[in-house]
Amino acid sequence: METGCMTDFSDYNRYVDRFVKTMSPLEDVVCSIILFGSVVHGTVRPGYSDLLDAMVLLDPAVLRSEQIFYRVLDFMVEACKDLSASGLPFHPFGYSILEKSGYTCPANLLLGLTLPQLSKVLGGADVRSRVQTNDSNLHFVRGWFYASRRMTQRRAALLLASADRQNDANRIIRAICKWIKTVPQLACLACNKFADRSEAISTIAELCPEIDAAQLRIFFEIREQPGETFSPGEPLRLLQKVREMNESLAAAVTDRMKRAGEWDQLQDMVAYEPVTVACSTMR
Amino acid sequence: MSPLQRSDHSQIGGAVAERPGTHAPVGATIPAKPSPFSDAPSSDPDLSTFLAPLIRHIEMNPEREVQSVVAFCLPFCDPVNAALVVLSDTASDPMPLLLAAGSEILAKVDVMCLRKSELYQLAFPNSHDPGSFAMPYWIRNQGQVLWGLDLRSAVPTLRHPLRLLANHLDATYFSRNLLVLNHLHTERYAVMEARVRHERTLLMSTALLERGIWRVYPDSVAAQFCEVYDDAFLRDNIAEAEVLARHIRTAAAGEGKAMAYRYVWLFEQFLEGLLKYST
Repeated sequence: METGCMTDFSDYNRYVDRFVKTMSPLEDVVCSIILFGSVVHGTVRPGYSDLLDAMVLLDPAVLRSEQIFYRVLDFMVEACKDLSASGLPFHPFGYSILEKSGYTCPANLLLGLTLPQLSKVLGGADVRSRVQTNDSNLHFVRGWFYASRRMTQRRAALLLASADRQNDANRIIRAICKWIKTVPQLACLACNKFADRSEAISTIAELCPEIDAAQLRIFFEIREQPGETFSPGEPLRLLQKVREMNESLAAAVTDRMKRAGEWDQLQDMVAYEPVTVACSTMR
Repeated sequence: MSPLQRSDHSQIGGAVAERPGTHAPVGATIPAKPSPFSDAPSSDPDLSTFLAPLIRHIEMNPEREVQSVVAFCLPFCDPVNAALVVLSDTASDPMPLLLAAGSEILAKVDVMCLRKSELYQLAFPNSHDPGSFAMPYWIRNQGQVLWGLDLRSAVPTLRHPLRLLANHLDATYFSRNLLVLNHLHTERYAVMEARVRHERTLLMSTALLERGIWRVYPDSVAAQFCEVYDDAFLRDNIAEAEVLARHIRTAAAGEGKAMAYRYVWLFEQFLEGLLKYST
């Protein structure tokens, strides 16, 4: 969500401070609060970047007492209300339990949460070395990348086939923004290379030189333009370009995996022969 | 056996019937259940009839290099109905084909166009959409060949489908902030209940898939889960959550907070209870 309101970087820092203050009475049950994303990297786009990429890791004791859990939930809900009232684009922070074995997160979040240059401990202990992922072989994040490719195909076709194209300018631009926000970063991950969102285009350009990075940057730049500022036909032309880029990116990532020697390993992981899968007949 | 018939085998390997290369007739129906968030058609009208304009286009345009069209359902996805269009490896742009399908089909059927050499992509589970984890099994075992070659057995699965539940549990990062906190802070308790209930059914379907059971539907997944995972704690949790969900749905505006909190508590206990089964 973008508000486009007059804000600056200090507003973001101010609300991060307020968030920490709101959560401070929970220090007995909060093991750690980790901030990540654009506020840490200093790449905030005031009025466009979201509050709040943060992870609240709770003591397992929280799940042993319903009353303690409700107290924690109350504070987190209050923190969300305060942040959403800021007028800045907002999505709630994450929370989870810090188990004895640590905290496991989706692969796309791992390095953003754990690398010192990409994250910051706002409160509690520095437990970043205990954050891991179950997707260490990247099967699931690659599945996400390839599914994004298929979904983009279909959505682009749906937008292109829609009867009232001119009125769809905003929808088309939103679709392009969503694509550029996620797909280049997923492409990097599929190539086994983490890149922060702001660096994803340059990283994928390094990994896959055949990709037209200049065109990706054009998509990146249009994020701040409202649909009505485009000339008639321009959003559709851009959408066609996104669609072509979407296909090239999928092919480039596969080629990259082949060049990196991962292809044979991947082929060993999939089975074409019958696999033992039970088929329950219960309905 | 026709690809349209259901198998009663307790264990199925690979595609149900024909070897690759055989042609199947157009016709009959795909069993499907509507997603709770979808207005897509289920099995009526007949999916093959619904996709007929696409099939006609394929028949009249051999230059599109379509080798096969397989319809299948994904009971936990939106839309529920899907079609895999397999192109030859020399095919260029799939977009004219998708455009020919038209907006009505594209809005209600997840049409996927892949070259034959790209079918490996379907083996990888999409971490962002656990409802699609079982997709390769649905295509291989229950896909309906609407046109062309029967390529269902060319759709691979992961050889060792481990860590499905563990990865799904990792992805609850998104349920906690987007489903729970996002709706609690705006006091949209009924919406929260619906979303979390859906997440619960997805988690149960993933847990069943990890035990090798892929044919699972939203309306029966809880019973199936309780039968396979003989766990009194989780069974009681599911039963209480179902009762509570009904109360939340009927609560007057502004009156659901205590029930919503209890519902989230049950969800967290459910996640904790599932954790011990993840590999």
